[in-house]
Amino acid sequence: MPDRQKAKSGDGALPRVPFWKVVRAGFQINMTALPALYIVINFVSIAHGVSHGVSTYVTQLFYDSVEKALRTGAEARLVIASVLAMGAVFVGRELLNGLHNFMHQVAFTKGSGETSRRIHAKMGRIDPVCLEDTALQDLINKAQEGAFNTRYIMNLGITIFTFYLPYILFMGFYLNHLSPKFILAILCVFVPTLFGQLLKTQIIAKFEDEAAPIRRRFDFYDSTMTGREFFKETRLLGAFKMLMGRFLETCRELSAAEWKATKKENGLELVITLVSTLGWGGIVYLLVSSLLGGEITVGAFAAVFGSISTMFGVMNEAFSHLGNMAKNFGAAQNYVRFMELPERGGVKMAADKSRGIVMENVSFTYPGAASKSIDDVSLTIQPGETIAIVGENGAGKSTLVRLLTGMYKPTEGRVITRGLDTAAADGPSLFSGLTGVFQKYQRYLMTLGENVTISQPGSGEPADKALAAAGVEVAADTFPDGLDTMLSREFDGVDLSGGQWQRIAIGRGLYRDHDLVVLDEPTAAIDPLEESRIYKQFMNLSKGKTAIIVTHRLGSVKEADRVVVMDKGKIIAVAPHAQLMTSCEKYRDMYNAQAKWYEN
Amino acid sequence: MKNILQKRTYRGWDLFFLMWRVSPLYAAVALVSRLLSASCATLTIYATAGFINAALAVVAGTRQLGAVMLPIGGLLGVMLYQTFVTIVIMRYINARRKIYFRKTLRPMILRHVSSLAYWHIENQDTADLISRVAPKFDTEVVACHDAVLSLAGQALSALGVVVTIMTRAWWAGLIILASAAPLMYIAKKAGERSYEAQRETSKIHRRYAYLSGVLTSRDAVEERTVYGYTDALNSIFFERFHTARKIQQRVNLKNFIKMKAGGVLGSVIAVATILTMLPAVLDGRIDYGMFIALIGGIINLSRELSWGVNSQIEEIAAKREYLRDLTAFMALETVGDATVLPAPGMDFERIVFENVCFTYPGTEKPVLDNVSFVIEKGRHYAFVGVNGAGKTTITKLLTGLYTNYTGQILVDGRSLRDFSQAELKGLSAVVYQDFARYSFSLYDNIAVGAPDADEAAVLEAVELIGLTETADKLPCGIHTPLGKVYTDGADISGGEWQRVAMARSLVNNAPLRILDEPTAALDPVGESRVYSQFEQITRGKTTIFISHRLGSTKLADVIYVLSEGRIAEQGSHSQLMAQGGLYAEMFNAQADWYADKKEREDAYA
Repeated sequence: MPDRQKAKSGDGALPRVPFWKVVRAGFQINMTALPALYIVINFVSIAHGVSHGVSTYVTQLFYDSVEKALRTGAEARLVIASVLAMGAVFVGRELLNGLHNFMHQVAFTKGSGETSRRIHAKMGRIDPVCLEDTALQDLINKAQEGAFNTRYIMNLGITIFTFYLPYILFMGFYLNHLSPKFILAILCVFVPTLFGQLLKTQIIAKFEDEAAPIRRRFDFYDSTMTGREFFKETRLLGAFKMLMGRFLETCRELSAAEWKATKKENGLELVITLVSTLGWGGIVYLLVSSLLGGEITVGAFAAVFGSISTMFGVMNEAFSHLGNMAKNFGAAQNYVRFMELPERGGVKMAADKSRGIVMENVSFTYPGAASKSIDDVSLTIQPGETIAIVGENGAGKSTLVRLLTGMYKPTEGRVITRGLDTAAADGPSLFSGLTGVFQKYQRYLMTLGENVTISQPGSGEPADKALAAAGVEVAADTFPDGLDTMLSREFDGVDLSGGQWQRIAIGRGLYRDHDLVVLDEPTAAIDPLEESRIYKQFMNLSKGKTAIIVTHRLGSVKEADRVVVMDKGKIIAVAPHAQLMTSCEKYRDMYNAQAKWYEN
Repeated sequence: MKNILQKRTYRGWDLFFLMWRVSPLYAAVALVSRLLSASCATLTIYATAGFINAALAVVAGTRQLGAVMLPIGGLLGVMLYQTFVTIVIMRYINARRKIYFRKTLRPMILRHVSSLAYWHIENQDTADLISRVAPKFDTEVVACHDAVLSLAGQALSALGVVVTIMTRAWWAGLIILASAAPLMYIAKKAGERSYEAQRETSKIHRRYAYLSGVLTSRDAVEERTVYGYTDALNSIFFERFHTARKIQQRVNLKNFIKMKAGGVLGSVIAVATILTMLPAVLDGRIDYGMFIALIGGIINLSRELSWGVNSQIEEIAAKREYLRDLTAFMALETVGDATVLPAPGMDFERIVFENVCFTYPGTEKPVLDNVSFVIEKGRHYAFVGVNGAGKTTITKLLTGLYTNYTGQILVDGRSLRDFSQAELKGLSAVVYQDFARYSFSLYDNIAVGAPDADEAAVLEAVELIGLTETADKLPCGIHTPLGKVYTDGADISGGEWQRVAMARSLVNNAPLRILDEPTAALDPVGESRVYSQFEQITRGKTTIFISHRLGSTKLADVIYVLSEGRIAEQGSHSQLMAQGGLYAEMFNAQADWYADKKEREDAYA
């Protein structure tokens, strides 16, 4: 389990989730997704479990009837009746088995849908800052797997009670009815097998812990030779030989770990097998002696003898399920942990769109980070003003923007945007009237129209106006189905260039009702003509609105009303461009570093 | 071992024979073990019959207690075989087998993938094919063999039981044989249909899985939060999920009904067979012990014919699909000695592109349309142009990744097509826009740049490119693994990675250095610094520089401006500015942002 490995290395130090919470989570999913089916399935399961036991019993009745007919020469009618009864039970068992499996499959799929829905909804409520914490990011990635494990544990647990237990109880009563000695023999097998299986689970879990990092390296070296992101460089550098060497080395390590685990596991298996063989011998001995002593009938003797291996098999299966439950518990906890992550929260309030943004002595520290990313910053933005934020990589530009919009809540101080305290208001209140084009703008593999209208769900407005304003021509040669053209080849649509995608992202930003605009300039390579054009579109987008622009090209900030210069989490200057050129050395240096390449 | 990777059509019998070609020993062991297992069913019938008869005779007082010992020994033997041999010993053997096949076949397939023509890696369809075939090649070869053996084993085991039945009650055997055909047919149909259903629904699955990605990905968090589309998209997801689920469920239901119809039919036939045997039992032609043993055999048989065979056939259908993929995979174009080391000491005087035209495989639009230019030793060249003009494509042709161009690329008069892979590798060092971020140590990330890079060269490159500070802050210095693959790996920023990529090319002694947008991830100050170091970094080498930041192209001796697949303009910066063409337009578009020189001069004053 990658999860255990995490706990061991100590960097996660996630708290242990109690077992009942995992079970409760699994129960909630099942009860929401399939309340009626879920109850019915358990009855079917019980009937199915019992039917396996009943099969043994009717087999005995049949054998007895044959034996009796042979012994006493009684007529064949009874024998025929008991054959038919046996056949009926077999058919019934077969049908129950089909019904049980089918219902399980339905329940499983329905549960998967419900799980995903819950995870998506939770993702929408989570405090966005959680996504910046690598440990939490990891947790989010594992939530889906964790949910799978949660339901797995839940379902196995229930199946043990509703399927295995009825069968074992039935057989127990049946054998006890034949002779109490059998119960003892079965217990002698039962207990060691149980411990053996649990021990085996531990060995496997330990091996997984040890093997996970090796396997990660194994896959990595494989991908350095065959993966798209490495292929051309590995080939041109002639690195194959070195990488293959490392791959083989890792392969040997993995094999050694695997072999070691196999030996341990198999040693244990050997003991379990020995015990069950002894148990088998014991039961056969009891059968023969009971038969000789006249305690059981020939039919019972034959029927029990015929079902010993089934009984052992079922027990082994039930125990290995117990082991699997223990094994899956580690990962299952991640789902509960994920569902308990802090949410953005806040109350619904109405924004006063005539007001700007006020930031008072704001500091901000990312969760898990040692130092402040924003350190005691104050800033006032007037409504209708265009503000540019500049600074080196890592100066805190994007963080500042996210604090201004209310996506992040300040660690200290407060931000009042359009009359709303960002720490108190909820997301929809804060973001109504806010739009933007972000550094990581999305390329949705949806239709052209959906790519635009997604910014304002339920608006109903057509997308063409926004697209036209963003400079996207919905021409038949690029978009054969107009607004309904599927984008991306993965879903049998068309491929677009980076520039086209960016224009669509601007269209998306324009489509949303807005009075406050955020533009975080992408660093990705675009050619100079496209770059200038896009910048002009940016300016269109913000005409007459409050606008915050993050940019790397200092030449472009001159049109902003004021420029905010950031350095190491602090604002070191706020002024119009011309003024900064004289008053702020840092700004001047940065500007000149770029500008000198364009001197003629 | 014979090479099992061949350019040919892999057929049904390869399911069985592929494994024999890799390791006759492991294949033989599996075969023998399966044969023995198959005979267990028949043995069990005889031993059970013997045991029950003996026990009855003892009860009746006609025989001594010792009579049960022989049949018990037989049963114990079967049981021990089935547990100790098939479970314990075969597990040891299978573990070794897995290790052996991985060790033998993985390097083989990796070498093959590494030798594929580059366009197969860039093309989505062939890339998918490769990822379906390569990573599980070693396990699939074994799994194919196992699937055939399982089915054959089941058939053999069934045959043994049927023959045993026939020796006692030939008519019962005939009933089973006659009914086996329709049962098998149902099983086969259900197995195949279920495999097809899985393939069909996987297509629908991708549609909603994508939405799930949008709703949970980290990159989408800003748009998701600000645009607030979670609920709307989540409903679409749920709707699509259930549409897919219902389709799948209908198929599953049909399948279950078919499978269970087979199962019910099997039970009915079993009962009918038993009924036909009754008279013979009652008049003593079949003894009691044998009768009971046969019933056990018949019940197991009917169960296996209806569900066991079913899943085996499903498995074989999947494996045959794998072989079809393998056939397609092996038909992919390869490049001869693609995995060799670069040839040392390569040099050139002149590289000439003569009327080069190029279209990416699988597309129609030519990317390069009659391109001609010259690269001379020791000079700096810049390629500029709008996105998609073909700049990066030129580097892919120069490094031999694509060869299906028309026209000529001549290096000192010799066609680039005649260059061996070693020579191609020795000719150029490239810093790609999407350079490789190897998750091993910082040192190795640089040293991988050249097979003969010594420590001094690496340290010099670190110093020169400004990575010393980065290396110092890492927990194990320059030997700290980067990325998340190694447990003690450390993360570095995008800008730092870009420097690593540049350092990698610095240790390389290839005479031609190509820099494809090397500064995209650097901030203005870092970018400026790289430009300033440019002369030093490229000391004495021939350089090709691709950039959108046109300021930097001034450093080039010759600038080639690409437009719509052609060289639209060429010359030095001042020549091109004087021409007032596309270059001047692009340069001015960027320079405009910095235009008011006067303002800056005032600031200095």
